[in-house]
Amino acid sequence: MKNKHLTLRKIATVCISISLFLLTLEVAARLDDRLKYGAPFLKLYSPQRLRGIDPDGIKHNVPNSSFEKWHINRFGFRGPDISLQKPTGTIRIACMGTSETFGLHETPGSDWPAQLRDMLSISGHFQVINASVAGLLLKEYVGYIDKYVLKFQPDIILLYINPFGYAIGVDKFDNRQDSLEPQVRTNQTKPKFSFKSISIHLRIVSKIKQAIRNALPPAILRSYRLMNMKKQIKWLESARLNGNNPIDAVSQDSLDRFSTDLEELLEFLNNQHVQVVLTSYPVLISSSNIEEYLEIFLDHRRFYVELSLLGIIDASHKFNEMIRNMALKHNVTFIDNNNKVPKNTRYFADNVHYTDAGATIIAENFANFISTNFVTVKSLDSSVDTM
Amino acid sequence: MLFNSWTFLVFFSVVVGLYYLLSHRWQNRMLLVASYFFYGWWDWRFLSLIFISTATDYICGIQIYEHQRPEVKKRFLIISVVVNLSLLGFFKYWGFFVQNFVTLLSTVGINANIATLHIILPVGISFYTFQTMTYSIDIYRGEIEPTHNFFDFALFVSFFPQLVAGPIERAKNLLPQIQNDRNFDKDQMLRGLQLIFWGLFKKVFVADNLAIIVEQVYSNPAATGAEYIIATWAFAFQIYGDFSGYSDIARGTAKCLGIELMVNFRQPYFAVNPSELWRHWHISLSTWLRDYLYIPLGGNRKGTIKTYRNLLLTMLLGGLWHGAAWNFVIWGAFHGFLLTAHRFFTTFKRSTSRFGSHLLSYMIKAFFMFHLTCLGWIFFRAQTFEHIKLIFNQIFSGFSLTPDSEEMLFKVLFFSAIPIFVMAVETFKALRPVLFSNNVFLKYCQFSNLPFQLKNVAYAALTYLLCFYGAKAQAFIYFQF
Repeated sequence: MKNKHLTLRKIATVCISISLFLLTLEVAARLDDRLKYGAPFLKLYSPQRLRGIDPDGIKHNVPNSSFEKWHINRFGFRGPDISLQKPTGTIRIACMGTSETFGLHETPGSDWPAQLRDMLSISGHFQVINASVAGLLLKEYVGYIDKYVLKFQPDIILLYINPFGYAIGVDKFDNRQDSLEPQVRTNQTKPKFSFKSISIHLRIVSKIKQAIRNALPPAILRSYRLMNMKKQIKWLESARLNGNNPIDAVSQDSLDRFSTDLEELLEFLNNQHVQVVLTSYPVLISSSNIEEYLEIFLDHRRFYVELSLLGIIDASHKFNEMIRNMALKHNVTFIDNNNKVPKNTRYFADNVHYTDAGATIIAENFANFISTNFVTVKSLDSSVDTM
Repeated sequence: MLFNSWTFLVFFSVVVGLYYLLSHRWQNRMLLVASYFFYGWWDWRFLSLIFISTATDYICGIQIYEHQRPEVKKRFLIISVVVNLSLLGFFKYWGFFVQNFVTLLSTVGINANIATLHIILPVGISFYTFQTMTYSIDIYRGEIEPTHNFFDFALFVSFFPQLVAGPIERAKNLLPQIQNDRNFDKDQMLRGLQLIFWGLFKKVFVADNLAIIVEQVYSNPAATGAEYIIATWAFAFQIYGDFSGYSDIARGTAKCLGIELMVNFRQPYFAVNPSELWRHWHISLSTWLRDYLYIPLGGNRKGTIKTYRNLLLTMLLGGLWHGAAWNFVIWGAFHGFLLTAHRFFTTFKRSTSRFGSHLLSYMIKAFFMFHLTCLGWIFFRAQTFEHIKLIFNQIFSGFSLTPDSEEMLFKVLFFSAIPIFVMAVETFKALRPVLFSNNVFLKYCQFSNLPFQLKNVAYAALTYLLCFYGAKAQAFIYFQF
């Protein structure tokens, strides 16, 4: 009896010790976030606080919000504050896109719109706004631009569109995004408690994951990621494909829907008399480097499990071709960034997001085009103003 | 194989796992193989040097002990010393002496062309050659008896926790522990793991983070005087964190294997005079120099002038031991001068003052001594004479506090605050032991007095800092010595 009591006491001590240890780590993580980023100590602190959905159902960035390295200005754009009224003689450039434009893996101030801003700042004629919203779908661009961007009177809109959501059917993808990000939709209500949500609420979990990723030797990390991805893909395939094989080519319906939505957007912008620049959508993975970056490919495929490797490569080709043709049809400037960013991890942090070096290439391509095509016009404008 | 690497974690786990499954005899054999593997991980070719040193002293030790005639004993002692110092001299100092000889000849107009051979410095050679020599010298002095078990002796020379950067152990401490049975002791294992953790913290959080600041300033010729001062403070704690961290990991690792190594650091930056500093900094080297160099030279038994000479010579050679470069010689000479000056003034002071009895005066003296130590670190860290000159020029002429230097100062304080606090508590406790048993607050300032669950919280907080503020793994500074 005495022994049993002692054993129970020992077990209780171990449990309390482990809990206290973890609790201290969590408190330390919260204090750290508080001191480093000004994060709330008790409330949920996740990237979802950057995004919201307004009463009209439009996704947008939450003004004056911040999460770790990301800061949103008072008008809901990433980057420095601007005035609502365009300064006289200034050409305003709005960069529209999703997470690739918003910036994900780049160091602060190195997302491509920020680098473009720096490159063009020398001339003093341009003001670059990063008007992107992570997770925005092409079909939602019109509503968002109309409500949140046009009031800043942009002269040029750079459209960097992620077409992949359309590859598996845009509505299906949209619903899936909602289920993955419940906080976006139900911004006003408290998320329900579940064991899965513990990792969202416990800040130490993501920090430990990141620390392990940083500390592990690359070869071990790659093997682990590959194993993990394969397991996830297998699970997703069994849950979503209903026994069917993943498809090797994107469907005509998907392409048509993309084409319709893009056309609608271009017509809308044309009616607003905004100069549009379209770009192809660069991706890292191609059939020649798939073995080298298998874990990156699998990571990307988790979102589009209906597509096989061939399907993803096919989607990339067909959508990029469609963007190019649409630019031609609507007489819109087209910059082929897909062919200009080298396909390796010096430039890509994952299949579609950039490192600082990758973002520099995108910014340079846009800067070259803008500085050669718009400086003269601007000079003329200025001279008219001063007369 | 660095202590702060995954490779070492795997290696150590395997070694400890096997260790307690084996009998004493096989424990030693396995540790010997593990130690040679550990060293061979860097460069297996240099294992031959350890073997030469081991074989020489094993044979010399037995011969010194067994021969009755003093001149024969002395002959074997000389063989041991010459072989060890030749290995050290050739691999560590050949290039340095040849280069300086050529420079000297060129100043008198002779152009000599002597090959410097570009010899690679074997890791830890200064440590294990000194350790091996103590064995033969101690037998010669009649302080210990030799071992006839070659494997045990080879393990004494190559015991992996302290092989490459000390502490420099004495045979009379380590060898009996190797020869005696060692059983698993839970408390000793726990204390060992605590020491490893604390050592890792000092290395990864304190030293490696401060290294970034130091490198940033010392490699920038345009750095201001204020930045050099801050970077020198940073270097003081970097080298402390690095070396005492290594010593703690070494002691902790040995403890996990049931072996106690000597304490190498005791709150050195709270020393109030140079003599105390050297009783608290790199204790295994300073006591080695005292016992095997200073005292044989005559110590303080042959008059005042010879005592000063012995102090200067000992510290000069102590400086040179750190590296084959003039800045180390200057650093050694600087400390030799400090010790000499301190000896001179203490002789004078003893009869006139009892200044040391107040805590405030203690703190003032410790502060002053810390800055004298930092002055020495400038010679130690700078690369060339020109660099030293530039640093002093900047400190005395280009002193200006910029926002950058203020941020740097904040970082230095952030990364060194915990070791400073621990050192302060330990020093204060040594000064006022009664206060530590009566005052509740002070009592709990000492880590060992904390209740178990508070210790747990402290470990969690340190773990957080270690994991999320630790810098990327870098080699230990003392590996190059």
